[in-house]
Amino acid sequence: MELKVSGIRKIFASGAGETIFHLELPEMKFQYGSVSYILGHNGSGKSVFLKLLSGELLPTNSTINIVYQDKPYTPNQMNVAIVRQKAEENVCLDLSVEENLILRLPTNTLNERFFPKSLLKQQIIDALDGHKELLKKTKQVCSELSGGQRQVLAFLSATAQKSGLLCLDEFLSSTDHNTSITLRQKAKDYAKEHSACVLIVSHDFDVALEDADEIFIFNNGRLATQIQRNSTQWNKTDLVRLVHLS
Amino acid sequence: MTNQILLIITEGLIFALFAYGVYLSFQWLRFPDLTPDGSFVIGGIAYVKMVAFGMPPLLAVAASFFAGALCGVITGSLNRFIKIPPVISGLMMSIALYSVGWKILGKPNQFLENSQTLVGTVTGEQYNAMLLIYLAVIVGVIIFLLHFFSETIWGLRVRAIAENPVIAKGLTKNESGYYLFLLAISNGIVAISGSLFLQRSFSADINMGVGQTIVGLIGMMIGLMLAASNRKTYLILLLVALGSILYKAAMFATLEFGLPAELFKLISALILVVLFFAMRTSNMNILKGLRWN
Repeated sequence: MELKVSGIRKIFASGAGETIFHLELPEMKFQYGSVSYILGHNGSGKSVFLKLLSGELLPTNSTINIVYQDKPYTPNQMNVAIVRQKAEENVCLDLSVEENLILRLPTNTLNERFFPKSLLKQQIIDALDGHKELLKKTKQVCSELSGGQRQVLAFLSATAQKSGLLCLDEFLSSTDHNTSITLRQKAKDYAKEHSACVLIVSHDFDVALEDADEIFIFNNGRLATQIQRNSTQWNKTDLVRLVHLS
Repeated sequence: MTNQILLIITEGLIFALFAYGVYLSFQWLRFPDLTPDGSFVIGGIAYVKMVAFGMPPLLAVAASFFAGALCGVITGSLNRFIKIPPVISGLMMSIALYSVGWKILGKPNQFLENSQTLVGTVTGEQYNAMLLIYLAVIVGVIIFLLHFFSETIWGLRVRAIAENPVIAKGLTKNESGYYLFLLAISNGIVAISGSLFLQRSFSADINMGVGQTIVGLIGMMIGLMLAASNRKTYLILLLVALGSILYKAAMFATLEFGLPAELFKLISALILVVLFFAMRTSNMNILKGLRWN
């Protein structure tokens, strides 16, 4: 059982119409319940790929099709959850912790949309997943949180969406060591618990080898290679070589 | 003295509604909207025309809301669909509404009979007291509705997509719809303010909106500075009303000191400068994150 993504094509052109960057990928498949890492040089198209998947960017002369549980979706229909590298891009700083979470929680009834703070109280506590600091600060505005706390909130908000596709773009850059370990574990748990596909853009080979079920290597807008966990190339030496060769 | 206080409070509450419109567009939507100069006039003109057609005054106030809302929708459409920057969209709209208002009115101004006002034929202190009751109820209802809306999922989304356009696409497929809706609400409330202004001036004048956005901005800024870090919408709106009343009291005091009426706009501008200075020194940034494109 796998999630399929096709139609990834994005061209950035200069004002004179000259192509600056061209991302074009073949159909990609991600196993349900798996964590896939995307590695590659700066400017290889990793973040653009995630932005296309989340609907933040529109493809060039193409239609992105995501097949999940045998049903086709556009990125908007799929409600892809994404955590970006910069913490302040993931949360609304003038809204409280609780309000940021409400924005991402699925609402089922009209009553929940009219009175989310009272009717979604339990879901908010659940979404915070035992994070003591944020539980104490649910009414506090995000501008008063540290960068790390904002990023944790961003991650928890994204997981609260309960999407079948969770995209994490260098999401550990502003978190401390312990928080990073916790969030990495939560990402793996999320994939398993929700039979979801978690895609992580990273530059950390060690973490990728430790956490990933599969690694995709991008080079200059193309998929250079992909490595499975049972491959003989699943080691740092080969991985570094493949990224540098690509 | 009682009558003077009543005058200050009634006029303060009328402009509190104007300030609410400015607060919604500048604070919630981060949209520096200048349409209110025009929608204020259109609200007044809509009221005059409606009561002239025999509509009950309270319904005419409600009708003025829709006239203002339409102005907001047009400004929003100019920005969202033709990509005209917010300030220019609003400026263009307020200028266009000057002509539209004149055309609808058929002349530069029109007087209002006492019988065509909300309060009716009573006069003097009794008129002001009754008008105050009407205004308190209208302001109260609007505070309640705005507070209620701010707590709903749609209210949260409006503020989120305006503050952080990066996440907007993930929250709604209809970002423009939220912009148009809130601009309609803000200009509708400003138009109500215009129709209520007539209860004091007894005349709709096509020039009555000139520079009023600054007055709304002053009321909003005083209110937000008083609110400091408090984020409860109803409290902010109450303090914005207080800010508008304080501003009107200050203007009334300058009149009492014998300053001529032609200096009012200059004094308003100076008050705004003082507020910006106070904002800067107290390290508050009330107007942060406004969208200029």
